[in-house]
Amino acid sequence: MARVQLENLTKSFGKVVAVNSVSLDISDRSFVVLVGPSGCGKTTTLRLIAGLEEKDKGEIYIGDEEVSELEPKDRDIAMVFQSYALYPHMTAFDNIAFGLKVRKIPKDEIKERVEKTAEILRIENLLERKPRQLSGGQMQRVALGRAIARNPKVFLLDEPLSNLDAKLRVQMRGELKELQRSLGVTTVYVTHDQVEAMTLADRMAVLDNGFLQQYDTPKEIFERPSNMFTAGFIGSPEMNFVKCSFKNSTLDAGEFQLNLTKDLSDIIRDKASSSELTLGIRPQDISIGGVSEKTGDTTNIPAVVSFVETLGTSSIVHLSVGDTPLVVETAKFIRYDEVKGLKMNLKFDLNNIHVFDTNGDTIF
Amino acid sequence: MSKNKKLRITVEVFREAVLWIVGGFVALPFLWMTLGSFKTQAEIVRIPITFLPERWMFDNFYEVITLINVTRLFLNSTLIAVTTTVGALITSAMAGYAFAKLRFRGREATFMLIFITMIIPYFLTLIPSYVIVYRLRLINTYWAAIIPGLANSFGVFMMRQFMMSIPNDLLDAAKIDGYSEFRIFWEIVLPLTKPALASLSIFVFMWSWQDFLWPMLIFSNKDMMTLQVGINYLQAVRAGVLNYQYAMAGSTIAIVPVLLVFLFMQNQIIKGVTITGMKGGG
Repeated sequence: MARVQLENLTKSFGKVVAVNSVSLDISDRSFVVLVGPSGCGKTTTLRLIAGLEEKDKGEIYIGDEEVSELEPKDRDIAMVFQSYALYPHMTAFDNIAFGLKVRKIPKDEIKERVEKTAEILRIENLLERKPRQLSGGQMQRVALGRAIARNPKVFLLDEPLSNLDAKLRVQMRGELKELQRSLGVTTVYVTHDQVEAMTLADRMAVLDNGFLQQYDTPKEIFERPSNMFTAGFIGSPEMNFVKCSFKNSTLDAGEFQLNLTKDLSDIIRDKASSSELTLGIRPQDISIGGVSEKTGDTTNIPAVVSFVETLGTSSIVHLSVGDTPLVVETAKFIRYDEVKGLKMNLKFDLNNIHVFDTNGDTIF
Repeated sequence: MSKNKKLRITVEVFREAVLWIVGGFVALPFLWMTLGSFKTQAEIVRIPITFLPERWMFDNFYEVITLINVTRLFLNSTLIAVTTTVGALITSAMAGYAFAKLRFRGREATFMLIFITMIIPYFLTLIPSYVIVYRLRLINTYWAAIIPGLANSFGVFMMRQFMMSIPNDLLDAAKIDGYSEFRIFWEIVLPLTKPALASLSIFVFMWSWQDFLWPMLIFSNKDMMTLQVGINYLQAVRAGVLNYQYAMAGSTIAIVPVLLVFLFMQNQIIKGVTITGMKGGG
C-alpha cells in the first residue's frame, strides 16, 4: 500500500511533449483514473510510473521513495495491459506465477498465492489452460490475477476493459471496483472512456495535450469543470457551448439573451478578461416546454427541432436557435416524426449554467 | 451423370494432369541423375538416350568411395553446415531482436545497411571474401567455410520481421515481472519465434550444404573439402576423361541428407515458404 506522487513530471518524444509538468498526489488505497482523448499523455504518465519510459524532468514517489531511477521490477508495481499481454506459451497458472517465480518465492507459497488469487477471480478451473483457449473476459481475469498475486504496492491499469464487449465491460467494471476496495491497493487506471472514469474513480485526472486539466472527484469535475476542455470532455452528450457577449447583466448570444442575477453578473465583472465569453450548459439542464407561441420572453427560447435520437429511457433532441445548434436530453419519450421541424420552447436552468473566459478558463 | 458432375470431374482430371506434368519437369533431372549414377559413362552420353540403365552399375558407388574419402567429406560438410546453421540462428535472432524491439540511435540506418546487402549478388562478394580469408590465413580451414555464413542478412531480416509481430506489451509485462533484457529475449521472445527459427534453420542448412563455389575456392586440401567440392573432382578424376557416372553417384549420396531433412520437416518447410514467401535452397 502506498501513496503515489508525481511532481512536475515531463516527458517528450522528439518534439512532442507527451507529458507536460504533471503533478498528482494519489493517496494511499485510492482509485485514481487518468482520462483524456487519445494522445493526451495518460498512457505515457502511467508508463512513467511503471518505469517503462524514462522521464525527462520531475519526480515520481511511491510511498516515501523516489523511484524514477529504479527499474520497473524494483518499483513494486503491477501492470495490466489493454492487450492483456499474457505469455502465449504458458498456462494461466504459469502466467500468474511468473512474477513470483522471478522473485524466487518458494514453490509452495507460489502455488498457494496463485490458487488464492484464482479463487478471488473465480478462474480456478482455467488454470491449466493456455491463453488461446480462454475467452476475452477470462484472459482479462488472468491478467488481473497476475497483478493481484504479486501483491504490489500499486496497480497500474492501462485501458484494461476496452477489448471486452459492452455487456462484459459493465460487469467487469463493477467487479474491478469491488476488488480494488477489498484489496485496498492504490490503483492508477487509464481510460479514454469518461463513463468508465466517472464510475470507477475516487478522483479523476483529466489530461489534454500533456497538461493536467483538472484533478478532483468525478462529482466535482462534472459540476464544476475548471475549463472548457474538461466541461466538454466529461458528460454525455457533450455540453452545449454558445459564444456570447456580456452587457448590463445580460448574456447576449445574438439569437437569444439570458438575464443573469446580480451575484453572477458581479462574478463576471470581477473575473472576465473581456466581454466576449462562452456560455456552457449541459443537455440535461435545458428543458423543453410546449410548442412555442409567445415571443419576447427571454427565459423561453424558441428553437427548431432538427433531429431526435430516441434511446428508450431518454431522448436526445438536436435543435437550432437561429444558426446556433443546441442539444437537449430529456426523460420524455419523443418520436422524431412527431416533432420534426416544430418550433419548441427551451428553458435554461440558470442555476446550472457555466461561463468561460476567452482563454477557456471557467468564470463560474 | 449430371452435367455439373461431369464438369467437376473434368476440372479434377485437368488439375491432376497439370500437377503431374509440372511435377514431372521438376523430378526429371533428379531422376536422370539417380538413374545415371547406375550407368556407364558411355551409356550416359549415348544418343539416342536410354532412360533405365542397361546394366545396373553398383560399382559406380564403390568407385566413388575409393576415389574420394566420402566419409571424411560427408563429415566435413555436416560439421560446416551444422555449425553455420547454429551460428546464423544465434546471430540472426539476436540482431533481429535488437532491430525489432530495442530503441537505439541509428537503428533504422543500420538495418537498411544490412538489408541492402541482401540484394548484392553472392558472386560479387566472392573475391573480397577470398582476400579477407586469405589474409587471415584461414585457407584450407573449417573456419573459412563457417565464418562468412555466421552472419546472414536474410536471417536478420526474417527474424526482425517475425519479432516485430510480437506485441511490445508482452515484453513490458516481463520487464515489470522482473526479467532482464536477455531473459526476455531467451524465455519470452525465442519460444514465440520457434516457427521462424525452424524455417530459417532449414534454409541455412540447405544453403550451406549445397554451397559449391565458396568451398571450392577455399579448399585445396582433399581432406578438408566438402562433399560438393569432392564430387566436382570425381568428374575428371581419371586422366582427363569425363566421368559423369561418378559425379552422379556422388551427387546421389550428397542429396540424401537434404532429402531426409525434407522428409522429416516437410510441414515446417512449407510453413517456412509461407512465412517468408521464398523457397529453401538455391
